[in-house]
Amino acid sequence: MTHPGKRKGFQIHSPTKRRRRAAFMVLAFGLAWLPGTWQLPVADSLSEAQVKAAYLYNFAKFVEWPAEGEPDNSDISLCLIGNNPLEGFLETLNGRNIGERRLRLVRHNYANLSLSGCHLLYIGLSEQAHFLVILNALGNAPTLTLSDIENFAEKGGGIGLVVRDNKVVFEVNLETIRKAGLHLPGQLLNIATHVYGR
Amino acid sequence: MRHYPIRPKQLKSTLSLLLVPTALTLALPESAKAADDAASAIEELSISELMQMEVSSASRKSQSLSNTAAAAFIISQDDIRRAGVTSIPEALRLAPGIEVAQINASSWAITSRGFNGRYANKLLVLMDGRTVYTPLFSGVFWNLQDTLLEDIERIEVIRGPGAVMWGANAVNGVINIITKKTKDTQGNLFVAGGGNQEQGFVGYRHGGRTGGDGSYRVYAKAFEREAFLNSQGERQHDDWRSVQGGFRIDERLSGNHRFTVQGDVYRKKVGNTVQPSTVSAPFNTAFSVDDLADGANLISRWEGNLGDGSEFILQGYYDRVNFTAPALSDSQDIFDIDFQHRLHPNPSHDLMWGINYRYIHSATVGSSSITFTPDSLGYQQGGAFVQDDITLIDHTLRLTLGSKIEESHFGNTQVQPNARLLWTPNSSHSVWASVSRAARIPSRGEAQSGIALGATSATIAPIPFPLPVQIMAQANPDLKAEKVFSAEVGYRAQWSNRFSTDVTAFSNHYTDLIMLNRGTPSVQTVPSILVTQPMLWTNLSREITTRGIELSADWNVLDWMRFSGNYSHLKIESPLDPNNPDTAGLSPRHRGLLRWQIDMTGNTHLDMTMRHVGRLSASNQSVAAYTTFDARFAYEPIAGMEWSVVAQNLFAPQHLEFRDSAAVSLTDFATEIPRSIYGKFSWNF
Repeated sequence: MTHPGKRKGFQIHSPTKRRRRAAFMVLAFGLAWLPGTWQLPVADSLSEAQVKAAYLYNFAKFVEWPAEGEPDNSDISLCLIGNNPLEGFLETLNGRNIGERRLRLVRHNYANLSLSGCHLLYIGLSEQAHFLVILNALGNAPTLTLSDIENFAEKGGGIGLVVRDNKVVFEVNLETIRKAGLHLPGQLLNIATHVYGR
Repeated sequence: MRHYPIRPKQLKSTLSLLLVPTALTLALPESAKAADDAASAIEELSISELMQMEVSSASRKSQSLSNTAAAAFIISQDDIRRAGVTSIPEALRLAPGIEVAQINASSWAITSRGFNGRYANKLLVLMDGRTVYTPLFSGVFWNLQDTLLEDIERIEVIRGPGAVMWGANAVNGVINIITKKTKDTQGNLFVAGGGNQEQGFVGYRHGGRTGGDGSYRVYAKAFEREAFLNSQGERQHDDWRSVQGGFRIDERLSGNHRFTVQGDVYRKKVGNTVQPSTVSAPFNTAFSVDDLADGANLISRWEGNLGDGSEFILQGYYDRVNFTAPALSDSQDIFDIDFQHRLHPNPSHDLMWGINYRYIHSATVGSSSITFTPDSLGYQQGGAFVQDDITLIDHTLRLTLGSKIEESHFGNTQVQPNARLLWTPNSSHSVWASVSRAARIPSRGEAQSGIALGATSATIAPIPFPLPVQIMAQANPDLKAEKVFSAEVGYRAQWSNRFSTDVTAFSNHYTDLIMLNRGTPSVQTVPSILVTQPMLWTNLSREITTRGIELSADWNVLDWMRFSGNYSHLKIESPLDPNNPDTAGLSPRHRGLLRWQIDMTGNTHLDMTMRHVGRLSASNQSVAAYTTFDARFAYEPIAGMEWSVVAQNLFAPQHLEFRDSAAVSLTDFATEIPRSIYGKFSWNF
């Protein structure tokens, strides 16, 4: 470091030297990663939207609605609100069976909120600005609300789907669930990453 | 309703003693993962399986922005960790459109869309709602801004004016550093490491539950960084030491009301070499000292939902920064209170309004290099904004109109309007356009300080011998605010769940830019002969236009391999003016970044980042183009524990990024950024 002459000499050559070294390193790294030289880890190829849709299907199985004279084999209406929530994967659930009941998809619109009869309500990300209005419109109706909007459960939604460490996990607002007269099994609450209003 | 495959009630009574994951897995067959058909996979996966499933972050990022009619980019915690960065400025290198140039071991020049410098003043920076933009010099003291990097949830980078929501000084962009909620930082985290430049760092955080429906965390961290070398291989005096601690409490008062209290205290020691900038003693020879800074802040925020579906946020904070340097010492106290209310008068309007008040007190101790007149000043500023999100066509076309009006002690009243249009023909494509006007209010430094920028000598006829010349920046109390008129368009596309792109083009037109303008020299003969060359802070009469394009793309080639990158092009139309600084050459025309992330096995990860920055050509800022390469290898022996090695700037032993632009008289040999390596251990328990 204290030989000015040496440093000077280095500087004169350095631009080309650096460039060559840079090119070499790019090449070396390129070769090292040629396909086939590495064992591929086994892949789970579900997208985030698919995982979230799968969650919803599971919650539909475990939630208990208040028994108010509905026949045991009546449809479970899954209401959707928002601009193509979960990339359309919720649509694939239409007509699927949950026990002896059938999931029936119903689309709703923020401009015309009449949400009566919804067993489940999925609120898409596009409704982020005004999801509280939607929750207010529901009041204490026996509807399980779900969304991947940030802080959904904390602000009064039923179940919020959140991503932590690249995994989709869920938070529950028990106060909201209770007010709606719904029941979720304790096991589900135990594995929720956070339960508000416990 | 009573005929589930396994009845919930039955499940409760018979399986409640079993482990929870087992209970939920039993409900469905294990072979689900093999299913090719996505729909049947959705049906067959159990909750415990879903909880273990890794999802790609590529589509999440683009989706969270698909409703944003602005040039926004999110740097996630995952990005920060996997890039191996150790400071906030380094993390900002990951965003398109943000110019980050390191000056020495402890200082940076950071801007968005041009006008870079150590005191770049057109980028507003906030940490959890607290502005860290200093009103003393307009800019950010980057070496004072820190937190436990592992606690950062995300950094939102918004290029372009953000005045309506964020207020003055968000001329070219806003950076929002958002830390995690305490419910997401439960348990303990310990990090430690060191290397040749990162001589040592250690951090600890503990999180727990409060008595009520809330949680808390406390953290402490310390680090020490080695000084850099200059181009001659001489060790500089720019080392950096920091001790910092803080806490955060998030509490739920009821289902509809929440509050957060958080705060930090810190002490920093930053090596500084004071260059001769006055002709009189003691600043006629360069000498090295340690600048000391300590500070503390306390933020409290109350968020509530009201019965009509509207929401409000009431936030107040106190921030103190106290620094001691040979040229200038300052104790600054800021008290800020902010109220925002979001309401929904009818289905096609989401309305938001807010008011803000800030009191700033600054007490300086000057020197022959920098003098503030008056040396101590308390002043206030305030503003109000309203913004309406109007849905023109449901889910397809949205118009946002807003304006902020702001009154400040320095400069005149500013009206900062903004109109944005967002077209989302479908959920994976969005096109937006925006026009806005934003302002930067003059800083106290520009309005009230005299700064010795440099000392030189000149021969002025008819005197036969050279005379000492003092170059002085002179305060101008009559400065107006700088204004920008900005037009932007952008297109965001999610081509598949593995590939997304984001393109933005902008044109900014600046008027009344505050710059140092060369004045008429004056000669003093008593007590000795001295020529003073004044440089007067002036609103530039010439207008400057900048244009640029910013691209970013994210490609999750395979579940275990991801490419991401960005490119920014910037053109500054500002003809060289001998009486004004050469702003055009302060920013590179081309900049690009390419990241390659590989999960080699489930618990080993490799990250490579290559960065290219074009040359800087300003008269006082000639910096050659450079390409750097960083690599990080991480091994997770057990969940929550990680060993990593990070090698930075591998392509060259050292390279120059930015010359210190604090003074006119530059050091002959600029500080260069060396190649470095460090190891890190991180344990979540």
